[in-house]
Amino acid sequence: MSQPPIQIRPAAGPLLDAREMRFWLDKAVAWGQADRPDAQKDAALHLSRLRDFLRQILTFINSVSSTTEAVERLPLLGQLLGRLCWNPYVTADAPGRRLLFQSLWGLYSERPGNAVETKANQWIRKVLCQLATEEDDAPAQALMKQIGVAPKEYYLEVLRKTVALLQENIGKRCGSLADINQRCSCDSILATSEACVPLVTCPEAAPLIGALLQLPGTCVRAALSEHFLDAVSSAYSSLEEAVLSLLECALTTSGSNPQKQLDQSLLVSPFL
Amino acid sequence: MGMCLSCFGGAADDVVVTPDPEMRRRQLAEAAEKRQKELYQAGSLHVVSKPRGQRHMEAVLRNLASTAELLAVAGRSGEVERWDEPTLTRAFQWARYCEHLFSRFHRNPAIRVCMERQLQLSNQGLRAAFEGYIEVSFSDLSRCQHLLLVGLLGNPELPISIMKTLFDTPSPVCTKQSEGQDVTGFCSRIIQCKSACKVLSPLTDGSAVGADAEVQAAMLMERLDALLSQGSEACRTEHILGSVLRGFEGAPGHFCLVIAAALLTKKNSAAKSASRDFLLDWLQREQRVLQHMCSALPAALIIDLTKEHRTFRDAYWNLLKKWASDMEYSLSEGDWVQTGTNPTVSFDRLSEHLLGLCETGPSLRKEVEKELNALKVSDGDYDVRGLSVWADLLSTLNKSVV
Repeated sequence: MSQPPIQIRPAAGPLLDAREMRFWLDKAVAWGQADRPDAQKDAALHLSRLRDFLRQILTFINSVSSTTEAVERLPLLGQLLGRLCWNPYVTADAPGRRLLFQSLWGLYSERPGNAVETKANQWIRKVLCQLATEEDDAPAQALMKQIGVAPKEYYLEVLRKTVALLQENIGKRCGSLADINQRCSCDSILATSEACVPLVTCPEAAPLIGALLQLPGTCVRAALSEHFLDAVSSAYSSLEEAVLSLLECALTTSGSNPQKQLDQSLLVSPFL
Repeated sequence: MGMCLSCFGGAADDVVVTPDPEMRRRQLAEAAEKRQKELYQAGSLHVVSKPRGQRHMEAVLRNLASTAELLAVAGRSGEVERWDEPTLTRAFQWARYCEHLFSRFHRNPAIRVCMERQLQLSNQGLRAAFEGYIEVSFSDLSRCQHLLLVGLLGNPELPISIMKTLFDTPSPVCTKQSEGQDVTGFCSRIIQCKSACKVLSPLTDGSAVGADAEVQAAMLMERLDALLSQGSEACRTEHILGSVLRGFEGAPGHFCLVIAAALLTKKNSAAKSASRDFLLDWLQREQRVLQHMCSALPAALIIDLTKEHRTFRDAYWNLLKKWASDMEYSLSEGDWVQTGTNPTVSFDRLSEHLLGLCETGPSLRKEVEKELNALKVSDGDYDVRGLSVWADLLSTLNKSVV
């Protein structure tokens, strides 16, 4: 059943129509298909546009009088938000995640007036609970339970290990290899930088991002994604603000080497 | 971090005996909720860091009982409706305190037994008070914060303001040091970590073992180290390994990677080698796992394992001989095939294994050739293909030298 284009004008900004909803829903569906190598590239490409779109969604939700009205005017809203919640490229990105969760809160009714609103409330609680506590990796879950490790610690360890492995791989670039016939790993640089687009503000990924930015760029295959570079520069829009934050970080973090922190910061590489 | 111990009345004192089971349950629940409220109104809580004497032990046990009650109230009671951010923070402090108790005392059998007994008592009472109550065991305490979180998020009475606090995404810079202590964004950070792992994991496909297998291996070995250093009985440690194995039921290939990673981690101290030796012994008894490892793992990993561990090398060689001895020459196929219901390996693959094994060192190659020759002789010392699997393997080996 095709939808007549419903023009919805929020308080300020462009139109939010059913066509655009459909576009993003199709994107979300495509990104959700497992084992598609180009899904990652596509998500990285669209991340900043998605954030703009989520801002429009949030403005819209805040402008309507009730969840019932929101759902009537944008019937695909729930589906879209739900799919985006399960997309790791969206949830790894701090600003995107913040907008997504704020949209969910916006749809939560303090005093649900009907069945739709009650269901919406239940669904929002369920999705968030699942995101924070559900485990789809059964072997990992069994191991965590047997060993007595909480998911929080486990995933932090896996993330640190993954970042270390990838950093090591970047180190094996051509020029440092003894045998010139040995293939360099520079092909993976582009893919790695694309994957890092949602991770520019993730503290654990900082060493990897720093390593990418410090590449000398002598190999033609070692190209950094444009979207990655844009994401890095917009994450630290003000040099002064960033340096002050970093200094504060370095001085208040107990037991860590401030120099090491600064070295690892992605700020050091392009500017100093 | 100082948390003061609050005193609270005995368990049964507040409850009037009544024959109606539903009424009794309600009374017990209300008594637990009342104690929790008193706990928070008393302000912050002190932890006794080092038990000296009976009095201190009693205080620790009461704290433990209190946390069990907290978990029950968090997950099962409407009382959470009245929780605010300070209450939430204190609840997580309690949970962290119990995690600390676990890490301090899980290697002390005497204290562990006391704590287990206390938990059993608490579980009994709480089972009667809260319908659907899930029991807390001593080993659960190492993940106390997680249990608290699961209970809270599953409780429909949890105020939405508390959920917002947990899922808040704070400013990106400088979150690192506040990680352990702050409830704001507690869930947000978990989600960020999980998502980041998912985003980056496809990029590590080229690595031999993979980040998650390495981390799982490290955690497994740490646990084995702990068990062995506290003088646990071998059967208990084996039980853990067995449970982990069963947990990997649907992913036996991944389990093999974890074991391989565990055996290949570089450890220097004697204690660490004890856990690796234990694992190697266990592996020799678990032929099924060993078989799977040798047939499923990439050749390079198997070579690394044979180079690193003499015992593994011997077990591997024995397995190859077993595979060979299960083979019969099939005239229709013109090749050696494994008999039996589950043929694991072809003759060509077996030859590849053999060549790989010999590549680990010239002295090993000599040993293998010598043994194959002896077996060939015992088979009649024929040089015609198809009569002795040992002769054919030996000739494949010799051809590879050329």
